[in-house]
Amino acid sequence: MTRLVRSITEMEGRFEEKWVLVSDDEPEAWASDRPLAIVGHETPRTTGPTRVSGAARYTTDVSLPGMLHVAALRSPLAHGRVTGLNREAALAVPGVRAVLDSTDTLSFRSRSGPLYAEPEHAGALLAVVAADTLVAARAGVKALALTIDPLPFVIDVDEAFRDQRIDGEIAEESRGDVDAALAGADVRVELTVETPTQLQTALEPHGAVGWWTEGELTCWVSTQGIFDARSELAKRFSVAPERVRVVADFIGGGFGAKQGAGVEALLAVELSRRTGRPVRFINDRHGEQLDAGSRPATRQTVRLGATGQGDLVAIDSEVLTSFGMTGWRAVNTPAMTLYRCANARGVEANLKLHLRQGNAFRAPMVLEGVTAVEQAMDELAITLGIDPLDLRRRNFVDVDQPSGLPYTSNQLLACYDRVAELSGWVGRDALLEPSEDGLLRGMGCATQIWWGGGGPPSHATIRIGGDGIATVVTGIQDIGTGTLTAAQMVAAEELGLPLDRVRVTGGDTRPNVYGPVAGGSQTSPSVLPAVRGAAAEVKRTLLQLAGDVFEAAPADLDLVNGRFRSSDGALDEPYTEVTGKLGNATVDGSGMRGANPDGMRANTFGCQVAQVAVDPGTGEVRVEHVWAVHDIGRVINPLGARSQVEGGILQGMAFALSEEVAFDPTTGVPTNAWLDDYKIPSIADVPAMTIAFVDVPDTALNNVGAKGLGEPPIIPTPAAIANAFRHATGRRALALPLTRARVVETLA
Amino acid sequence: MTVLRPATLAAALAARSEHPGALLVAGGTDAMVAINSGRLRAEVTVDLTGVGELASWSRSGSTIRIGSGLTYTRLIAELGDLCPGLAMASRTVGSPQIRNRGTVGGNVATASPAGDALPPLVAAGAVIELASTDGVRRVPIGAFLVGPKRSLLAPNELITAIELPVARGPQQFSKVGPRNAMVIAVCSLAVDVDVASRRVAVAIGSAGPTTLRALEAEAVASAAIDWTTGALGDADLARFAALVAQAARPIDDVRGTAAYRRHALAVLARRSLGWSLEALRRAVA
Repeated sequence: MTRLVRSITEMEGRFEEKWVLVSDDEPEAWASDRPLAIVGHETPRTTGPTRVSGAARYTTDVSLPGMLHVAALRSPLAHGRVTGLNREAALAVPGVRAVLDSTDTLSFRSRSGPLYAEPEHAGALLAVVAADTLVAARAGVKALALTIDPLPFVIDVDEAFRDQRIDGEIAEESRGDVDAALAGADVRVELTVETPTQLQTALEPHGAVGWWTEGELTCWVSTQGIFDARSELAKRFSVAPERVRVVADFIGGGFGAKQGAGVEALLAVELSRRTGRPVRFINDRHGEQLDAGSRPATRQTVRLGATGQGDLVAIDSEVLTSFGMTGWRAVNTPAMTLYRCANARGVEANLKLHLRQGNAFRAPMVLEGVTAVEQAMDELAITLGIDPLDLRRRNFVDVDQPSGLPYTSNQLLACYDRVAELSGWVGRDALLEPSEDGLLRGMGCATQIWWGGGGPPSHATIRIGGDGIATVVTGIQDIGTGTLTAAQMVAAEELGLPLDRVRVTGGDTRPNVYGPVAGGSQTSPSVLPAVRGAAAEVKRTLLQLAGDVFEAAPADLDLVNGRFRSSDGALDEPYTEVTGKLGNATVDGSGMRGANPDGMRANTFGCQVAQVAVDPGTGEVRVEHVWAVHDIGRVINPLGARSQVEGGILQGMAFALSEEVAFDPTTGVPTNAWLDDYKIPSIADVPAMTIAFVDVPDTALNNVGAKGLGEPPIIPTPAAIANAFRHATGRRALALPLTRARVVETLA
Repeated sequence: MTVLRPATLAAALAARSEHPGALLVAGGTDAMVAINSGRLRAEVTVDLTGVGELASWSRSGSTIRIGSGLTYTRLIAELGDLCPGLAMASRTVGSPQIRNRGTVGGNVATASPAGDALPPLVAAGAVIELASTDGVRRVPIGAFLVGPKRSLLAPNELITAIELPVARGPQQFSKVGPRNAMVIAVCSLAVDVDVASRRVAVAIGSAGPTTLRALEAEAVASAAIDWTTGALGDADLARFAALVAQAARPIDDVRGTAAYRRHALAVLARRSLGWSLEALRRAVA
């Protein structure tokens, strides 16, 4: 039976009630103590050899006969007015087929842009040129001979605040009486910290190949959401969704910045419609670093009040974000949820600046909030003379305070204990002894909170035929996280087949099996239960068929590791004895993610400890070791999960140590929008990492017991490093990243 | 664009003479970046990778002659004992792939103030051998480097070799960058301790229009070191470091501030000379 029910869904902390399709046949959650044959065992990702051998075909590799190439003209100013573009000269360049700028009426609707006459950030698209070759397209851009008048711009936070350039409403949320509680607290700390503008810097830049034909619109897009991209293209170009096909076989990272179709796909399709040719628009690296989005910079002031024993009585947080002209507000989520506190207030404003609009970047806003709150907690622990981990344990809370709802699972206290044990936390003051190499060492910790429960809708189908291969069809896209391998494992586990008898597909909307956007750490907890549901249906049918073939009662049979077995062991036959009789017939199953439990909140938790070594002479900060323990429910693939945590730690470390967009104050233009001067970590910067999970299935959440892991591992790393720096040096840098110069200034 | 691929030095010199100002490509680690980013257009390119004579080194008495086409990878593997300072600097260049392609001659020809190989060459008093169809001349590297990406290389000339003395004592090279690999130096420093002539030389990179010597600092250290024991008082070491910082002529740019560069150079100078004298003391003892 399939039914429609009203249920709450969540994406990155935004809650919505909607109709949800559920199945009565969904399997019960695997019991926590049930031994599993494949799930929970280290499994190399299926596409590993394809990726490392260069055989994987990314959007940037798509090449079609007659394909045109796009080059972009971008604003060289933070704010300006275009006064001249020589379209005729561009069109006269041999090979140039089309030019678009803000004066063209496009066949798709757009709230603003995407081609600007008055750009409001450096790198904004002014015009695009499509040509037979990229060289000709670039020559066309040059021939446009842009002239542009500068207009006044504001990128300075203090100036914007003074002039009250506030975007929309100032968000305020509170509970209790914060002012009174602060005034009456035994101990108060106040800390103002700044966090930098960080760029997603995916290895594969944003891009698309659009092909508009009579029958169908086909678009290869480097996107985190093929179905969102399909909806967007269908809506913008007024085409029925079933006539739009979006393909993303391999995606070279997204980190939040690749939502929906993106401007590259919209313009590629527009140009294809005009020229009748397939059109490729891939950002070059400079364009990507200027105009693909960012984690916006913040300035945050956190005040904490506590009793002398360390019980929090007040949390007060004020946040300014630098999103650009408009943005959303969620930096105060950790302040409102991370610790038990009756009196809490968060005030958050976005300043209107002439910057590229910020967008989602792995744990958007929550990483920023945790970075400030967890440094303030560290200061509080120091002021109170309490072990920072004990202070956190003392203020542990097992309900979501804004809603008052309990969590589906919360193993945070176990994370604290395990990370303390692994890192040798209690002995950390031994690091403060003078060392022979003259470096100052210290250890710091920070807590992680994030959603990541996933939810409906998410679907999967499985088909098995005469060859005995089970093909799982999903609508997810593997942006590099290994979710397709996890889906393969869950399907094989439920079916009772060896891993190599199961194939998984995704990254294509054509089968019309819906999967969610790879965002909010929702893919695994959304799609894996659907895969398991589909596998359970196929297995039920296979057991029926086995009953027919072996003249046994289906209820007395099981399918284990590719063999049909009776409960008394008398029957033990390979499954191909049954599937081999199917001929051209197939056995199909479909599954869907059920609703989330009512009256509960699903969140992930964790704690990381970092050890740093600081060179007080040069200001170099080296992260020597990071210990990470996270609660993500059941760990489906420990190998993939550890790999995901490693990536999160490195990206968080870079936020703490080296990544920062620098702007020329006289022009408002980023000065380091290239890979040679915007510093992501190199292999030589990678610290030792010890990674563990409190592997307790969340049986209340979904039938596989898994929560998400995309966001969690990046969240606590910067604060843990900043707190380790404080432990090592006795000083706190009031802004991240901890660049050499900033460290020398801080220690002076 | 015309690409010439001479196989011999004579052919390379002829090509250079016929196309004065042609773009020279050795490892291409600077040139290709500039071409790909559109900063550099060349009508004629001379690819020097086929000229075997340039890709070797030899020793004659106490002098090492390094062919301009010798890669960093080979230099590190083969010259670590004879020119330790230059080998240390070479290890900090880019990534293994870049060190496989990049050449010392290219680093000298590019004449970037941030060139990693330049401080040890300047500290060691290297001589640049320049050849053209008109003949060969030798120019001290300090005179050869005249400004940011400017040198005395004439339009018809090639750098054929770099000559420098076999190390006459401990050498050090240190470099500050924003991460641990693949970085352009924020600042760098080479120290060359010549025990025989009782002289310390120090050269500063990435903190001035070109690689700089800190002559006053050198004189102070050379006079203050007890050359029989390798001892140097803390006050003298501090004075040396301060004079090195003073000799720098840094600017504020995207990689670092002038103030930070001076500070870091003092730290590098103190440590580099300290490590060198420690090695000297070990050798004496």
